[in-house]
Amino acid sequence: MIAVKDRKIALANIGVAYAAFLIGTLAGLLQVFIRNDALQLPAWLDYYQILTAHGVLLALIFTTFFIFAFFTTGMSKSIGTFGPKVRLYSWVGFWVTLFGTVMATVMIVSGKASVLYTFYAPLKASGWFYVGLALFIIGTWISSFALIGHYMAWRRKNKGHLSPLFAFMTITTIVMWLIACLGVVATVLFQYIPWAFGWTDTINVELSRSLFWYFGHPLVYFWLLPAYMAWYLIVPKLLGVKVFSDSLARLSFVLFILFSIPVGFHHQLTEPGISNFWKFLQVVLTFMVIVPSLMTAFTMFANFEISGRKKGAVGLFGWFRMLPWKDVRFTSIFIAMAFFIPGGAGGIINASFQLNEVVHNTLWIVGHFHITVGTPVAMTFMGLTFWLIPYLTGRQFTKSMQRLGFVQIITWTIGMLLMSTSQHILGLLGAPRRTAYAGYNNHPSALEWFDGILTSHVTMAVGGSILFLSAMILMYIVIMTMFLSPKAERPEDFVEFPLAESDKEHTPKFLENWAIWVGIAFALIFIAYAIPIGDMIQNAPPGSKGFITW
Amino acid sequence: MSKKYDEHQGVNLKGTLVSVFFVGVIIVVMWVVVYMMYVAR
Repeated sequence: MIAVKDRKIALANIGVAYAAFLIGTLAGLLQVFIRNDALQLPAWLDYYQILTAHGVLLALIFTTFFIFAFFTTGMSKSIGTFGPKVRLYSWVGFWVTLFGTVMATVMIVSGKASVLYTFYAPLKASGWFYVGLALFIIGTWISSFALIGHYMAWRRKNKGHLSPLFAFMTITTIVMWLIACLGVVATVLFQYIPWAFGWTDTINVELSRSLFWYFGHPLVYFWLLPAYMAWYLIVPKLLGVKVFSDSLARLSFVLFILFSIPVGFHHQLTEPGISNFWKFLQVVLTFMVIVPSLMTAFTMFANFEISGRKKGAVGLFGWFRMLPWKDVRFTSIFIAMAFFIPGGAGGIINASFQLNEVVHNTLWIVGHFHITVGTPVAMTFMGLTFWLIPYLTGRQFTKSMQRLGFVQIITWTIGMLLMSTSQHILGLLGAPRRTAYAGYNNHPSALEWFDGILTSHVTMAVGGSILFLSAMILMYIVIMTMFLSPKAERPEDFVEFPLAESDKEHTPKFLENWAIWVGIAFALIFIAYAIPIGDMIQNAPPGSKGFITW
Repeated sequence: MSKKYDEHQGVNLKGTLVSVFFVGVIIVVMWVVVYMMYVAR
């Protein structure tokens, strides 16, 4: 068990994460009903407010607070109790992040920031929305530096040793996050805030979008890497095996630092302000991300097979039956991984220039989002929640909670399969995203899209409703394990932090040489971005005034 | 680091190999389907 004071930091983060989850999933439910014409919103609330709240609260707030809860717990467990300074800065980071969150959420709910989670200019929100976003990022930086300080203290005490894998992966994720945020901080501070408060009249839209996506793509990996940490470190423990290869795990993580950042242009393939060469270069770098992704896939299968064979499995796939299916902590993460196979494949499609023409700005992208962050990441976090909260509160994860956990993950799976399959197919047919209306003024061709059983608004609404039901079951589990479940008193009732052993005896030391990896990362970023960004500034297109379309 | 060190010597990972190929096939099939749609349009 980690120190009580460290537990409090983690629990505060989890509390905010699930408060955001509750409001964010409710916003998701409202959306599917509005699209189905089954709900009329009051005059003060519109579809785009709800869409913005859904995206910001789930994709940004829920994930970030949950990730810091996981990091705090794991760092305290793997490299020791926090010192007073680390604890102080973790709290300062938490409160600043929360203050920014509340500020941005109030602006969204009061209808002054219906700019969606990408907040693309020239849509213009209240300046306070951007201030809230900036505070949110600054808060995460403070929390990040607190964890880096804790890690550096450990390294000073353990000179010449590689850090435990959990700490290494946490710092890798944080390093990537810090580098990635430079883009969004630059655009929010120097472009959006002066523009939104009226200090400048116009904004360079192309530059703002490019700086956003410099941040936006590694943001995806900021969600994904903590899920990968669970896959690399928690799953083997549940399977009763060691980490498959410490070196491979570390190498795959540093490759994510290198190849998750200089790739933002693959989100901007249809934009005219970037020349083909830079798009091509960044698409090539994007495809490099497949390497660590497949290394991860290989490791997962290897863990499963080794575990099954240890239990006596025979034949090519005999090990599959031997997996611990009755353990909801495992099954949840297994389903999350399974969703990531089509999710990852969809990502390769999105990043391929010609194929991007087929899916760009369609509901396919929404479906893709839901089978990447919405399930592989979110369901891994759910699988972690089942033990993380009782571990932190010292309560039991009772048999009835375990059964409810299964109901929760199965309903999430069914709901997501219905909704995301529908969104993928509709997107391929041409149905647009980011809009409440997809019928093009009742054009017959557009209406036909929604005639199929799998592609009707009803299917999407049924899927969305099942997802909301699942979310509420999860909220019940969260509240029970946080406040109401019986306290663990006997040793066997205590919930463990399932952290697999990792044999680092043969791991090359250069894998933890940050100067190498951060140096290469900045070199790649410079190569991929310096000239096109310079071009956007020197040969800036005419600036745009702000538009408030809602 | 000993060059001969192999912590996975003797481990049967044939199922893993086939599974990874399976993932590869899904990627290729999905990619080709959407590419064909692009060509057809």
